[in-house]
Amino acid sequence: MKPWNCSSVEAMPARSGAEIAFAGCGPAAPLLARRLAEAFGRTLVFAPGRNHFTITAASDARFAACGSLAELCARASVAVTILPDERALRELLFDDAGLVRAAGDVPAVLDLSPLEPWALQEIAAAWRRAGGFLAGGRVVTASWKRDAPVTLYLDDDAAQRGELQRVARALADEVVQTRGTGSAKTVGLLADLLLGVNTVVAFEALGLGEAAGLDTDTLIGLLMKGSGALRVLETIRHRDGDFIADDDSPALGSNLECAASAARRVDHCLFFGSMAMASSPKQHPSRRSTSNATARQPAA
Amino acid sequence: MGSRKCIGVIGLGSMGRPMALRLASNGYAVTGFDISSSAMGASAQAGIVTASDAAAMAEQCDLVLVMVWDDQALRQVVFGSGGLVAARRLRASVIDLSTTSVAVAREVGQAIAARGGTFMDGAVIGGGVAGLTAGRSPIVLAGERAAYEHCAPMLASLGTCDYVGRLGSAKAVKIVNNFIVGIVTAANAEAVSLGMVMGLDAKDIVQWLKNGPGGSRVLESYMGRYVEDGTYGAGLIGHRLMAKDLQLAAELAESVAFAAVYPRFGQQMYLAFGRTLGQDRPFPSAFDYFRAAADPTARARLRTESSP
Repeated sequence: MKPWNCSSVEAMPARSGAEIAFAGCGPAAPLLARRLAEAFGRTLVFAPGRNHFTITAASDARFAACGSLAELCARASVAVTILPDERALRELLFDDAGLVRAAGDVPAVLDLSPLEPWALQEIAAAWRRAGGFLAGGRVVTASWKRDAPVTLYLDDDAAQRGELQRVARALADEVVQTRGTGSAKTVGLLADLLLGVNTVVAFEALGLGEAAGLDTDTLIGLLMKGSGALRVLETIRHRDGDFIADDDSPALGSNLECAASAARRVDHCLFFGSMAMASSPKQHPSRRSTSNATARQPAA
Repeated sequence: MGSRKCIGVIGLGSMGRPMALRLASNGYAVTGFDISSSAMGASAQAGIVTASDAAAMAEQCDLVLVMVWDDQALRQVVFGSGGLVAARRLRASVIDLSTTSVAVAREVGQAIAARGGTFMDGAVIGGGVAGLTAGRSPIVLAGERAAYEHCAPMLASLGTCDYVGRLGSAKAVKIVNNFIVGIVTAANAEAVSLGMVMGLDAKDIVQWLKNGPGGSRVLESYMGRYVEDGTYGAGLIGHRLMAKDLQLAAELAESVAFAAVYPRFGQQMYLAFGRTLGQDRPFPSAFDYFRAAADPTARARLRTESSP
């Protein structure tokens, strides 16, 4: 397989399709693909590998599965991509069987993958040289499963293409336009960092309050009135003695790892973010010992 | 004094004095007491009648509000020479609004009840000095329900008053609230500093983040203000007191066997911020710590500002 090389990308002939395509996987995929389908009608779906999303999409009439990237390219004018990392995106776009090699003009791409801004800048420039257009964005939410509000940070590059702006508005409850190529990746990374820290802090605060004999719902109401108000408190659910159900949390660890990686790159400390990585609700020390649960009595 | 209710305020510092002035401007006869002669002098100049000690206040007032530094100061107010329990008759209901521990609140409550008095623990959980001055402070009270029904109307000019349960519960709410405030403020500072190093403008970062899923009141209040005018707000506690508040959270967690990791970690970070920036610099200035770590120019400026 020929290694990816920006300088060897070639321009493509005119495209015939005008549909919206979604190429992605992970916890965000089902909700984002559904929102596209609700806004634009049947949505093309291409998901690398076999996973929960591809299995679901295959039986959902709102989606039409693309058998190949070539088919996606021929039919779609816009592709929304959300892939696990930079390498997966580069493979989708530039690999031997990638979008850039398909018989047809490359679609405009809105990439929502968790990339560092420098990677997005390089990939966007290469895509432009291939005759296409790529704008970066990043989606952040407290939960992909519990209808929590979705915020989409979007590079102002997208303002050059009306169809990308329409797609962005369909995907999110709030679209925040940032300034500069790659800026949305940075802001999204910071948003995920603060969401991660705030999630762990909220988990500890409510757990401490409950252990000290406070009513949780009352405590949340009081915190939201005062200086301790957090957005994440609006979406926390308390059921069965748990504040955040394991399967409802977004990929806290991988989102924080993106921030940690960027911090290492620019030689910036990450004390509070690192502590959240080590103490996510799933792995929290308060869960590790049943004696903690039974020992929790209201303070005498 | 006629039919005017008399309210005493013990602790005439950055929160206590505005509280006293607000009550006085709303028709209460207010007396004040502080161990600091300069605080007493400043309050007298502002028109507050000063009392000789806490015991005298407890004998004369309908309600006594306490707003002091910490557990030790609260014990001094209650048990020290001229303290509340030294009063011949504890006429006043006593509410402690200081950021103190659950354990000491209950200890003090029991002692005052043993003298036939009424005690509630309470806390102001937001709004700061501006909130007190404007009468918009969210306040929580705990203790006997009947005491709450009696005392809450006298605090209506300060803001809203919520009853949160048995004695000690208001302190627990305050400790949880300040735990969130301390950790999230420092985490915001770290994130904004990281964003600046990655090439973004601080004002843009705050604007873009404040309404998203990672948003918080402290991001909007402290960093939001800082990017506008370079200040964090008036009357804020310093790094030393925030470290104390996080210690209270750590001790509360230990007392109820809840394994929290951020309180002790946060306490140590604020001790570091205080040693580097100055113990009484407002706690959101943790941002300067991260900026100095990341930016040589900021580091040099900090050395200049910190030099004797």
